[in-house]
Amino acid sequence: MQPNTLVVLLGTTTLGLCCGLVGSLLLLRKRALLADALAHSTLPGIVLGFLIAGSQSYWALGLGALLTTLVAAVLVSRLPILTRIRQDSATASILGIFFGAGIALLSIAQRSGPGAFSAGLDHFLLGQAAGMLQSEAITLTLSATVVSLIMILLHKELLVSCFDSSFGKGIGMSMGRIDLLVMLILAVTIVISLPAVGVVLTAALIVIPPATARFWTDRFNRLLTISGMLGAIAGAAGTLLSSFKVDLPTGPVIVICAATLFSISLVVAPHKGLLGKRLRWIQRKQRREMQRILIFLHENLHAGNDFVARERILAGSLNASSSALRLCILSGYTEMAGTHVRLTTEGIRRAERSISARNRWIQWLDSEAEIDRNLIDLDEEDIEKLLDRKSMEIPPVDKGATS
Amino acid sequence: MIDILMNPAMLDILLVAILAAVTCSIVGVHLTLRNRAMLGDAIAHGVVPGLILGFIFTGSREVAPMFIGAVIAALILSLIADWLKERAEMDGGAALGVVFTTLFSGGIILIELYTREIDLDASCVLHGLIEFTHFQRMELFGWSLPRSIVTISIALLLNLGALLLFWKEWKVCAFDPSLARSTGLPVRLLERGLLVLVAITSVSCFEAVGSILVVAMIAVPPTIAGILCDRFGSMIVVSALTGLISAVAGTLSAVYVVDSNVPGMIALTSGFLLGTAVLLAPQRGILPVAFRLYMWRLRVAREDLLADSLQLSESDERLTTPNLISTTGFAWIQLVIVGFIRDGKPRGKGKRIAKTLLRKRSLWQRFASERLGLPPDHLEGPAHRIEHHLDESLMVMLEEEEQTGKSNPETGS
Amino acid sequence: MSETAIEIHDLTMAYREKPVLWDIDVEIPKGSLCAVVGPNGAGKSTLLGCVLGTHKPSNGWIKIFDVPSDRSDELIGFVPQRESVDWDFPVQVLDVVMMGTYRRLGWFRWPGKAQRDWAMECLSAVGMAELHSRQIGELSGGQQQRVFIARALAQDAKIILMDEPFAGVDAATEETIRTVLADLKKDDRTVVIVHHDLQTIEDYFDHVLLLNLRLVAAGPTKTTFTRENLLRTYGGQLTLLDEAAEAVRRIRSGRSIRKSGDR
Repeated sequence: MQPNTLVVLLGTTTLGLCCGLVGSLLLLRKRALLADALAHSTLPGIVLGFLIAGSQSYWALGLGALLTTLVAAVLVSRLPILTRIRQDSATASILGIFFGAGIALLSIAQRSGPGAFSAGLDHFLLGQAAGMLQSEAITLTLSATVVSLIMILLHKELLVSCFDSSFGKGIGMSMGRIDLLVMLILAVTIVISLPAVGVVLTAALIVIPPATARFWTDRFNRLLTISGMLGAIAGAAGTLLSSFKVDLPTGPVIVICAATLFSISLVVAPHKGLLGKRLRWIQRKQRREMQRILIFLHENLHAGNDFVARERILAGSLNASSSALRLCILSGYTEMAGTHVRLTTEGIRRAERSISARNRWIQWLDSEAEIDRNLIDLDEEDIEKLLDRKSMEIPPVDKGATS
Repeated sequence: MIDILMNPAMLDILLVAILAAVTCSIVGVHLTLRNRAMLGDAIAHGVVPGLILGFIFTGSREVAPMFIGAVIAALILSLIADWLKERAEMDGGAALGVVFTTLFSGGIILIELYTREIDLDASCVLHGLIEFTHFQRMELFGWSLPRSIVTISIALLLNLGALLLFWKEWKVCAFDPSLARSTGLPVRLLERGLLVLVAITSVSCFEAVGSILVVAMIAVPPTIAGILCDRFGSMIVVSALTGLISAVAGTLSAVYVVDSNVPGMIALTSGFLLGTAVLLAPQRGILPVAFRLYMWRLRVAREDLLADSLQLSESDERLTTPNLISTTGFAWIQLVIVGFIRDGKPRGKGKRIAKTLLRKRSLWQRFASERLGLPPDHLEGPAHRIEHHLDESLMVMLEEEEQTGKSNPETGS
Repeated sequence: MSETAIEIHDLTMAYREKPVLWDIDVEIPKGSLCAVVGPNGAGKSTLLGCVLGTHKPSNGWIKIFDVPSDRSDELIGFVPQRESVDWDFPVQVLDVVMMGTYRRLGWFRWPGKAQRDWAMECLSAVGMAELHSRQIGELSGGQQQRVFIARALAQDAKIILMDEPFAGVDAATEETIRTVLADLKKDDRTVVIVHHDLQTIEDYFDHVLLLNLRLVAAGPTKTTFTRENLLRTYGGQLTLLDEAAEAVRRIRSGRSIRKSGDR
């Protein structure tokens, strides 16, 4: 590993952390694409910085970029309030106008004689992480520290401002200042990320990690933490990967790493992931199927038929799936006797429990209780959980209904 | 002006810019109405891998495969984003952001891996090759035409055709999708069709004019139209016109004034137009609204001054000159200039206005205290200001109220 | 009459020139359960906003327990309208309730165990303790309302404002919220609720405030909630006011500047 790789590694890791933290605030305000618009609106500032300072100094370009980014941020947030332009249109318009202005300025700057603006558009768009200087890495580390500190110190103010800003106003927090702070952090993060990963990929690093983190948690603090960590991991992994294969650009590889983490989370995250959802759905379906079989057998038991032919369960009016029947046998609720099926004592107990839960549920639904769309397909465990709580709220109506 | 029209290369550039801007402006209206203006930007970035894959698979720089690749990439982009929004319950913006940035990165890596030797640099995609429009020609029906003019014209015709064909359907879908669904419209299909149209339009413009112009023209002219218009039809027309104006002014200024990049200047011009619309739009512009408010305050101040002076003159007093550096002061100056007030007393037409206002005031006060039950100390202040709003029809209503109130005094209690 | 919790004097609220609230003059006694009733656009939510301090009135003042509202340290709890909350937001029930302690914590400090215990206590007061680690979107309508009530309790708010807690809930949930309201009243808290359902007013509330741009009537339900007052709130008498307000709006948008110009 070359010594510079370590510098780059440090820089990209802290950059990822920074972007992940700031990005989660944007995600929670439902303004994720603002990052993209603001990243693009740095271009006119960079060129102006160059034209005014006459050199490509890091600070001149950075200050220029910061300035136009802040102007763009103010415009995007004020336009929907002052006029009836919608948020989305304002974001897209400001992006187009500022970037267009940047391109126009750039072509002027590139013609302006000796010492002309040599940093091509490519560098601006894609960044050059591999060429990161030690000073840039230190700036990134410092910024990441400051941003993390702000997040830790102000976490509850930030939470309130994202979740319920009128509540914040009501308890005397100055929401305007918090919003300004968030915009400032965002602008600074974007500007310091540009030399390393460029416009679009900065936006990517601000958007993807929080969206990924959202699959893993339902809590604000954890969202921030996980998002920051994911950003850092993507930054580090991308840098390492691209250092093995030298001709790959670091920025895009970092983004691909982040996107990979996103796809994995999309599938496997326990609560919100697609796989988990699917599995829970299948499991629920199986349990309902088992319940139907047990109730059917129980009814037969009452009618005097201890044994029921397997075909009657799998076909006919019940038409249950054979896998559910197998599951019933495996769980010890039923046993096979030749081609016939019989309830075990445990199965009888389970069936009775199902029946009583179902009856209570029907009764409860009759009592005009709230019918929640998600709660209609339930098995007895759900019902018991629900009704234990609800029965405290709802006066029992059974006696009145029968008399 | 003449030499512009005489120069065929310049004429072609102008024509391409106009066609592209108008086409994008029309498509943009649909997106803006659906709160999806950012889709233009997302597509501009997301098509990169499609372009590259189209190139890699055929190994040629022919337009057709790259075009098809890009359109497919754009469709995949919007479909995945929609899918993530629905299935993974993500925020729409975040879903779009995740997908297009990932596709873009993938595209960049593909460029690095496979197409090093050829020059497909990013700035070419961004700027487009508008300056070379004139020199890339094709034969059509025996005429030699610039290629991009032909492609964009096709896109424009496609847009106009689809727009006319699905006019009311798209309008309903944009306004109220659930209503559209309940009337049996295939909303999903219509929206998908729109996406295809957006994809084809933007991709056909990329090559000719570059992505910045597309991003700006999809977003800005429809936004301006949104400020100026209240109806779908007029929005389309105004948006197309704004696109046209930006294209003409931007191109001419880029070539003849500042010697800069054409698409960039077009975007910048549209920005100026947007700023102008925000500030000056006759109905909702910030300045006209403020101006109307001020004119209203002036009128209230004038009427109050006249009424006060009339009341004072009845007891043979005269109104003293108010502080001149204030709204009231300005109203005073106006009244003195037109001669409605002389020596602190109302004269001529001023007297008539004052009398009308006093009549309104007494009617209103009686109405407010007797019928609305406002306590007497509340008749000052904001309740008092209402009297200026009473026009003839309201006066008639008030008088009728007065009559019925007198003939049937029991209704109120 | 008992002690006054909220005193509103000459309150006028206007967006630009269009009046939203006119000359509101009302006192809400401590410990009352007060309904704010009126047609759509009558300024009900705006009134709550003024009391809460999120809207600045153009005229007049509000006193909370005899202290002007901008100087009052008294915390006012607010239960927002259901549609205005982002239910997908990654917060758990307990996190929302703990927000009630933020004011007392001040800047920079993190809520600790004491705040946590207090929030749990408030949650149990509304019967929601066992659901403390649910994400707020996973709750039913009535439970969601109770979380925000618990937040108001955690603020130790003597005054709680609620914006349409009964909107779009079924009979069972309505019953639950009522029980919680009764408990709040027992604690001598003042509750002001924007309410739509005229049929339940007499059963649920001991005070009403009838509003339509201006105050039509206010006072104990028995004497105030009368047919003629309702007619005055909802009936044609006020069309004139509406017309006037509409005229102001027209002037703002410039459509009838000719018509109402100098004659």
